[in-house]
Amino acid sequence: MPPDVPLINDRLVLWVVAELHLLFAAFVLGAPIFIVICEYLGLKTRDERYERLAKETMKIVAIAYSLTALFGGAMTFVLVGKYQEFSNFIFQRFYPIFGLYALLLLAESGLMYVYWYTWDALAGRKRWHISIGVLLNVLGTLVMFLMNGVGSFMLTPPDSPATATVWQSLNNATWTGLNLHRFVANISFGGFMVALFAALMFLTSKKEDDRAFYDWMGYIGNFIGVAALVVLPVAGYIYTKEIFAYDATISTLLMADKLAWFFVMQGILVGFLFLGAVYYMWLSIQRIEGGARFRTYIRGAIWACLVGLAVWLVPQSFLPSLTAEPSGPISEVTIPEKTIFLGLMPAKGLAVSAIVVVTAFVYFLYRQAIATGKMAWGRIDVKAQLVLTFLPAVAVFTMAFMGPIREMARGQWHIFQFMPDKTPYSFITPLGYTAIVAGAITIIFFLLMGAIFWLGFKVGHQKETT
Amino acid sequence: MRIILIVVAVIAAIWVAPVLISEDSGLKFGVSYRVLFTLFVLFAGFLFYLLRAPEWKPFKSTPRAVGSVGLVFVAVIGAIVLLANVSPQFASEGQASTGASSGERGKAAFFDPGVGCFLCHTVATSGGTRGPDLTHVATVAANRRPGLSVEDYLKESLFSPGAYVVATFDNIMPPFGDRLSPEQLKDILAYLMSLR
Ligand code: HEC
Repeated sequence: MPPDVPLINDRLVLWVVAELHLLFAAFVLGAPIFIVICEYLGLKTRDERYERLAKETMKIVAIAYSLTALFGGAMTFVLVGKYQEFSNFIFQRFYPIFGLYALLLLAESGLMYVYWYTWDALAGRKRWHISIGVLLNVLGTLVMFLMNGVGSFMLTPPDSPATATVWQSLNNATWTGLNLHRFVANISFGGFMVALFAALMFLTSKKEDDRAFYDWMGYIGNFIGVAALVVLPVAGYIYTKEIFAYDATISTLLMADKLAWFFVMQGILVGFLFLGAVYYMWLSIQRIEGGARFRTYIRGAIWACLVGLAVWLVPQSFLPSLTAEPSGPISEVTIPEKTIFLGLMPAKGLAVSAIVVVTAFVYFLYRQAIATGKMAWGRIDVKAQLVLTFLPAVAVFTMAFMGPIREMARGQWHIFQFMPDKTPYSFITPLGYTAIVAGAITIIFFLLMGAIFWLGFKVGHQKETT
Repeated sequence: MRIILIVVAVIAAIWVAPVLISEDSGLKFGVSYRVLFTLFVLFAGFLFYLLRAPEWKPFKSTPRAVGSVGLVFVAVIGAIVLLANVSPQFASEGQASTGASSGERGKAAFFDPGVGCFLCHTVATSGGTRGPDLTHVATVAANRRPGLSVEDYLKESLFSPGAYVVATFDNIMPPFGDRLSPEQLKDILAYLMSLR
């Protein structure tokens, strides 16, 4: 069994703290994008529910913000305390960037309070308030871009990292890819988290009115989550392309060596996300008048997704690394000769594209159903609400699992081919162990989120109603 | 009911077909693949069962609602973690070296810029190319010099690299006998010995 690394070691501490920082950061970045979109839609459609949704979610963001800072601080402590050589270098190298980061962060949190406290005051001047929200998001995204520069620098530093200019270091080979990928992923994540809050509220509401509202809110959250999810594989593709162009040994490690099975796992996770999204639409379309007639198509779409997923998952071999020795005959654990094409990139690419296109198609059908039939909000199968809790669980696990892949792609380096990792933990952890850590992080995250949610949503809400 | 029949039939096909197919057809999937396919078919069957499952009405009590959400979380994350743990695993390097911390220190020294081995040598994916790749040096060393054991050959490489110069490389490696402490040399040797 996997936990063969001493339970608490420096790397594990840094790993957990950094990942939690990242998850909360992703939430406080993604949710406000979602919130401003909702506020705008509220203004456009004059539908008051958008306003309520935006405001209720913002309350949670405000609390989550302080936890982001807390874990960020903890991460810095561990880095400075336990990884001195590395942090000395990184903080010096990116000194102006960290300065700018601090300033922008200050501005961002200031703006966040302004945004929150002027909500009612600017009720008559919605455009002003929305502009503040947009500015808040621009600042937040810039802050993230700066740190993405540092993170991507570690994997793909420019030639002679010690003497390159700050701009060259920041704008390294994979900065754009990482920026794009995280930006899109955060929106998706924000949407799914909002859907989760909605589902929790739906499931614990006793009144029809409330259920109608939270059903709608879950629908919107999922709607935005899926819209971004559909674009995500493209962003991921661009990002990996950049990595591969930078150094071919990394691509071998990722696709054919020790990390190859991590990507089989990732395929399963992403497959779960897409299938979950389609299943939600299957369940919820029946609350639209005449929606049931679309179900045949959705069933077909699920078939197509399953076939795509099957192709995506067929591995080249069952060997955990390039150098692993099979215990039995090699033909038992490698792909048969005539089906090798199934294990190659073109087939995988086609399979993923099929899943994406089919999901987008179902999505379109759903919009069509809404346009032509009356929606009975609140009259939704409770299973659909559970799907809305399933999706964020998988999304967060995927994030907590992809993080270590990106970090371990560096192999034995803190900074690729420049600063070696000389700690005893400079090795790639096995798949099982990695998944256990990711699972633990996911649970911790949701427990903390649960507490925040309870504070922000439930407690606040009870006050309003009584 | 129909779903169960279909699932059973497909799984049977997965396991029977390879018996009928000849080895050199190039289509015969090994046992590991069949297990994977079986799991996949079970999953697909479950999904289609879910499509037909009767509608669930809202939960009566809050604890039940919260409990079911908790259950979804535990089940999903548990299933994923389980799946990851039954997938192929490589041995953790951490495990290999927990007993022999000398090897760990040796690895650290190897990648220490002050010592500098990695500037010329690659292990696994990282390091320079002016010297030979040392990823499997303990295996290679067995046949380098007839009569010299692996350990002795590696010692010789450290103390007097010029005694045997690997083909296609130049004799540029400095002798390390007086550059490093005996402790360090011992640790590095232990590390090299582990690179099989
Ligand atoms: C200046 C570059 C350089 C440095 C620094 C260096 N080596 Fe070497 N090393 C070489 C070259 C070139 C060869 C191949 C020629 C030879 O055998 O002398 C070699 C050969 C070896 C071999 C034999 C490999 C074989 O396949 O038979 C071993 C073992 C070895 N080095 C270990 C080390 C260790 C351990 C260190 C650090 C303490 C080190 N080297 C530092 C350049 C270097």
